[in-house]
Amino acid sequence: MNSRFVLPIAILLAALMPWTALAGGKTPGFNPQRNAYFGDLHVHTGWSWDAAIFAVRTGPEDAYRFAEGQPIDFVGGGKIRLKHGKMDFYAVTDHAEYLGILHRAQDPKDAMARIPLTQQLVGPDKSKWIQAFRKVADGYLRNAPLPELSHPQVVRSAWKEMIAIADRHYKPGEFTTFVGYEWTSTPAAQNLHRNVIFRGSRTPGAPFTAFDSDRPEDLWNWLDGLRAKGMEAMAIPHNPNMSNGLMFPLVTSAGKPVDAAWAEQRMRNEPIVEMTQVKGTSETHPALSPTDEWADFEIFAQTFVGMASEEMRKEMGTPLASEPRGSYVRDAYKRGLELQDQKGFNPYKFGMIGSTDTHNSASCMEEDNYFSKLGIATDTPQKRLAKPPPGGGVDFGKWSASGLAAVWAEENTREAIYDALRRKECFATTGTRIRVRFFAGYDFPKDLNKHRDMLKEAYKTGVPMGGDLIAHPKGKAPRFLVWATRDPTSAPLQRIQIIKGWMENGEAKEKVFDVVGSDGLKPDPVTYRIPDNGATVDLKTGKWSEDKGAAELSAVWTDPEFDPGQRAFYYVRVLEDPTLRWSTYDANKLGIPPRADLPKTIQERAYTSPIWYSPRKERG
Amino acid sequence: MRRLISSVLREPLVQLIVLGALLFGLNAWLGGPAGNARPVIQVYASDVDRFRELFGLRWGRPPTGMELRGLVNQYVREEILYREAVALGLDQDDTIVRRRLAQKMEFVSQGVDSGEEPSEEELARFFERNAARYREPARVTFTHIYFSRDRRGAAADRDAKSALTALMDRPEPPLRAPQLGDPFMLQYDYAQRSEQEIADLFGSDFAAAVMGLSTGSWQGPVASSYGLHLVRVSEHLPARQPTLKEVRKTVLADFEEARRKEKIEAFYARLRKRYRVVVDEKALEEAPSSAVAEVRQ
Repeated sequence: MNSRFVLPIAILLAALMPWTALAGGKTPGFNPQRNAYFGDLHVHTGWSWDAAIFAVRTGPEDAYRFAEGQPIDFVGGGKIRLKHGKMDFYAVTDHAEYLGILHRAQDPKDAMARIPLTQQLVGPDKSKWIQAFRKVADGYLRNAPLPELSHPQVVRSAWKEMIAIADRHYKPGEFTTFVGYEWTSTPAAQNLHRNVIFRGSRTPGAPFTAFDSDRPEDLWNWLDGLRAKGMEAMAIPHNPNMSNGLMFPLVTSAGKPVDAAWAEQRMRNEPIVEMTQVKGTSETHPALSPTDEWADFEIFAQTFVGMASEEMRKEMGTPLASEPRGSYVRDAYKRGLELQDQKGFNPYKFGMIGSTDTHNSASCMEEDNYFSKLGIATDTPQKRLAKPPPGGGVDFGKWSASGLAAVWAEENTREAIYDALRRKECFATTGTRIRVRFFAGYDFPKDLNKHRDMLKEAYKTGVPMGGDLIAHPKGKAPRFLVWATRDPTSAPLQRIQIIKGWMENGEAKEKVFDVVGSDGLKPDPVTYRIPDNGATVDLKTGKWSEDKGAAELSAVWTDPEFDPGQRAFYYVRVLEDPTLRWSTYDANKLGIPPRADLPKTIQERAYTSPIWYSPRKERG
Repeated sequence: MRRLISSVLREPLVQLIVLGALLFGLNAWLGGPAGNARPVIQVYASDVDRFRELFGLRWGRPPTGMELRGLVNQYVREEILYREAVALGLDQDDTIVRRRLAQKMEFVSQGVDSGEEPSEEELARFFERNAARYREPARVTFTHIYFSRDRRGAAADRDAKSALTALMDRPEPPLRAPQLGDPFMLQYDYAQRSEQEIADLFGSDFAAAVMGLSTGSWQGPVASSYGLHLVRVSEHLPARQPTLKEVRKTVLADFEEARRKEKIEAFYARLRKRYRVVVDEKALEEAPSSAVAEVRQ
């Protein structure tokens, strides 16, 4: 064929691609190299008991309208709406326990309003509110449902309605909704919460609640049972930081050492973890990662003891401070390496996402559009910035405007996004739409990041984030492709880092490598640190320096300390230049100085799911 | 109004107040508690049914005879204490009682006609009056070629311009040509996006510029938050007014919300007319007390 015709024909074919894709039953925008989609998989509405108590009246219908960019009612009066773009996907995940009951009790004509306890909680007479709230909270912490609030048929009908609302708002190709709920297990005020997300709308008649059992193993059994009946769902743990070491344990709920069957069942049902949200970020803790200069970031290391009554606190004996070990994802990844090397199984090979955990039906991850998450408890800048009284209460100032769940999926449908979560081709951000690609392979050219079709090559000859890399027969070191772009509505990028965990002499270690920096700044060959680019932000206006930082950063990286015999994991952390933290925006609104004990600025970041490297021999 | 009165009268609390007042009057007329006709507390079959229902909701089984008797006694006790409290005027000056009653009154006003679908005519009128709210923004379909400033530095601008010249020189410029530029993290082709949607993806300057490009030819370079782009717009869809049929669901929900609010306001306005309100205007104009000023800080 005459070469003159090759290009035009190729272009013609390419131009026809979207239509041929449509003909194959795919939605517009379908991309075999996958698109980034952003969403929130942790959203409470007034149908959650605690949201109702904090006077939230909006429901799932409002939540989905909000996600699609429309304004909805705010508990403090007025309207709220997303400022920096609508969501690609969204899941309403109201608490299954007491689902819908207190929402109905807000209507004086409903039977639920005739129960005295519901009126103490959501009625206008607030004189017994604290006692009533403590009563419900204590019941929760004891895992003893209150008979006054236990109405299974109300829960079932609310659940049915939630599914119908999610189905109604689902627009394949444009906006994906997921059916979901939160399993709210809080033994002795330690957080074991999971969100359950269904792949489709084939669901059981009622959710499995923490009152049915507060042990994760029982939840997994239930999910396994559903799967056998063709109902696919996963559980997503959140706030491991508040679990007091229980989220990533070395023993089961029954106190036995974890084993291969336990690990397998956990991984089958919990492929990902929500590791950044309003109640803090659970990547790592300064006490666990003393050499990581970015570890002290949006830390909220507390149990739920603060919400219990005095009597209940004594009964439980749980401390307010949550133990870091077993409570952060990096530590869990390291535990996983150790278990794999020592016992031959790894229960902690999960991917990462963020979400918000809003209780206002509305995601609150935008620093300059933050309304926090807890109804009338946090509806004004004054309340959000107030310090709690000594010895009790929650410091809402330490809460974060975070985060987002992001996936690499072929199209915006339930199936494509769910499957991306399952294969862990997903990443977390602290609220901005940083996009990040991460691949590993043995045959990547050194300049792969400069190739026009680098994605096609990377998918063909490597593995994406969330994947496994098996040792090369000759012990060759892998090459990693990283590529990140900024959020056009936030500051440019400062640096890309790769966080490595590996086994050495029977012990898991960790290290942070700076891989590529903005403004031509290069990593130091010894410390692996890239110097600060000097970007600044105006504390009054929030304006950041556009002349510093990068719109995109990319690199092909080789681990300078690679040892083919050592089991390892690698994940990417992308850092933006500093922007104002929500608390500074709020202080500016009030015309007061920012609280001295809170950071004034924040470096928004993205975290990819890891790639795991396995050496050839079982033991490294 | 008759429906309103009847729905007010159906409220148990209103019934109780009316009944209480009647009994109180009757009692006074008969010469007080010393008289031979003591006030009556009647527990009707409907009350007993309600006790049963509530018990069932709470415990998931019907009450036993003894439990039902207990509920009746509890009700009678509450009733007696309630009546005596009203007789002593304990309901006066009680913020909680006042607020609760005011709230119930608003609910009563909402309850009137609830559940009635508006007529097509009503809905159409509402839709016309609020047309601006449903207007769909202008949309544009485009493809682009990306030139990264992070990759090419100062050469990006020159490279983009020479690529544009090369494209224009072709007798039939291609409809899309992403391979002429750098790899791009987002998509190369966007169908029918609004200016706001493009701004969320590329930054607002780029969005405004693309909305202004004519169709059918390669143009640029246009700067975005990422770098430079050559853009080819293939379709402009002007802003349009959808028909009622297309957005009926949203309009219906908005209509119902508006009607609910109107009803409360109209109801209040009717009640308001029955009162003459006297406000100490002078007190309103006085400087705020120091306590208020402090709170403001």
